[in-house]
Amino acid sequence: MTRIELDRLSACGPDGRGVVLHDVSLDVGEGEVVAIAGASGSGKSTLLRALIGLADVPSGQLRLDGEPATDWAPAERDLAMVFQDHAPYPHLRVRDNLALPLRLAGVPGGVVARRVAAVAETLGLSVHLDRWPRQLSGGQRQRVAVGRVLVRTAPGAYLLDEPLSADPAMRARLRGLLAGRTTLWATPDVAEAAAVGDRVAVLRAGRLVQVGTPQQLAERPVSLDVAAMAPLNVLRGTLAGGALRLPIGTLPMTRPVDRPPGEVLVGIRPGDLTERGEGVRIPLLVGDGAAPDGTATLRHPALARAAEEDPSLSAVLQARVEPGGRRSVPVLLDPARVLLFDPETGDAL
Amino acid sequence: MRRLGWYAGSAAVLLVAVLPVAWILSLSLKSPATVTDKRLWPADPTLENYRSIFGSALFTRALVNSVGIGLLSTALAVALATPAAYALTRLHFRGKALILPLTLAVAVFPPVAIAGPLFDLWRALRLYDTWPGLVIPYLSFALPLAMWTLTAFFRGLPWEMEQAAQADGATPWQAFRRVVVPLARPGVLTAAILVFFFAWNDFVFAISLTSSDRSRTVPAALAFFPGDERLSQPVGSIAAAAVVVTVPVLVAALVFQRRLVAGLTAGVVKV
Repeated sequence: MTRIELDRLSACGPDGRGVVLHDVSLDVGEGEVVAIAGASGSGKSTLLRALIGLADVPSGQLRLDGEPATDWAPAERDLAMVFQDHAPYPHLRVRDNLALPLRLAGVPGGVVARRVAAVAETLGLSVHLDRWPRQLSGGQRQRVAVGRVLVRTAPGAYLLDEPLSADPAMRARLRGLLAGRTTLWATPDVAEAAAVGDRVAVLRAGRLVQVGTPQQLAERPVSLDVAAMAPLNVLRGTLAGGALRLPIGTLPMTRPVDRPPGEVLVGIRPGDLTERGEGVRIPLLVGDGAAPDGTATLRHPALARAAEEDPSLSAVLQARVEPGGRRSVPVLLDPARVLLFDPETGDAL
Repeated sequence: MRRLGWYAGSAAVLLVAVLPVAWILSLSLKSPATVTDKRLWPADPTLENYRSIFGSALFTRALVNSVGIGLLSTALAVALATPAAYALTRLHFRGKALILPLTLAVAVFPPVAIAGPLFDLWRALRLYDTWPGLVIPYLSFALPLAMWTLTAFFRGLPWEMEQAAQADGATPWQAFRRVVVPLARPGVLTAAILVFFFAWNDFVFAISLTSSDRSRTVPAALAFFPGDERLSQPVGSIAAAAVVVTVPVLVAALVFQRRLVAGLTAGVVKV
């Protein structure tokens, strides 16, 4: 497995669209799975294409296992890549599609047959081996593309651009197969990124805005969409005179916010709404019950009146809560733990 | 009712298209005695006409010339048009948008208009009555034809496959040979067949730029068939020769029919 280091790397998009990836520095350790999260157009695909050697790199450096590799040809990098919307080779049957990477590497025929059979088995493609790509469904084609990558004998790393987007169950299996193998996994879905990544790198408009474990990102997210990787209660509130006014109560501000008084979006993690600890006491009504992990759905009369999209709050309670009860639970919320976001941009404040 | 009309229309088209061919086939099987009997079915079928044309150097030499000049034109046109179409599809350069319309302008020049000047020019250049003397004018039409066909086909090719192959560990040469070439093959084949048909069928250049066995192709040679008697047309021999030159084209068209249609409609639907 290869260690991948990006040092202030910039890269051009396809068809000479100019530089779309700017100054990305990222260190992917040996055997680490890093998820690249970002909206469409944020530069995920360009980042992966730069790594495989198919994008122009005007500045910055790529190192593979410490060796400068920016100028290496794709074949020399020994990385395996699944392209976002690339179909299988149309002129080859599924079997030959899967075999091509091995044949290119000069692997003997017997080994090729065995590995192709094994990978087809893993991906549920065994019965389709003699079919042509045009005879497959969209999901099956995506599996063939992934199979071409899995079949390779120990590539340095795996670069996956929205793999198996049509197939969540197969995606989970793929994540299991990649455990302990250097992988970059691009996805527009932050929840998927948090689920698959040992660490998550967040791209926005061609720049890396945050890198960290899913827990670190949930703790100090740079934006609302990153914060939403983990369960989060989102309320509208108003900042005024050193206090944050919420429909469920008013919290004192514990840190200065560089912002004129006005509306903000407030994120409250379920784990920060508990019966014990420190903070402001907020009376909430127990709603429809508790999930096995202790997350309870609570209600506050003011939330229903404020006509939020979701009038309930999630909280983590120690006490067993009887479903359907109308018991009032005094919940504590530490004002220092709430997250504030700009309602326009979603940036953390 | 609508169906009936459909059948009637198809039958009419079929009759118009097939009857002349059937008539020539029938003529070629008739003996000189019955060749003017105006019957479709030969009363006394004979292969005598075929025996006679294959026995004459006029025809066999012409056949060799036709095949040779046709293959040479095809090979050159495809070999030159393939990289040209590749460049027109894949590269960005100044004046690119003008090239295809210009080649079309060359191709639409009527052969009759240039046959006369070429006759004089070829005599001066000693190209008159030689293979190159026909191959060169054929290329002036075949090259644009092949470039148009191939450019349309290449535009429809999934070029991202070339990059996918590189990501799969292929060198640029391997990606070209194992992925691009197989994908491009149907288009190249289509262009080759169209060019060969054109060269094979040409009459105007063949009759005006040749004077002997050295380079006269079959369509031109038909005009020089000797009759059995003076002033009588060698109808049976001409018919037999016509059948012989039509059959390969027909067989090729049938064999490659699906590819031809696929190639000609390339660019309409992505492969």
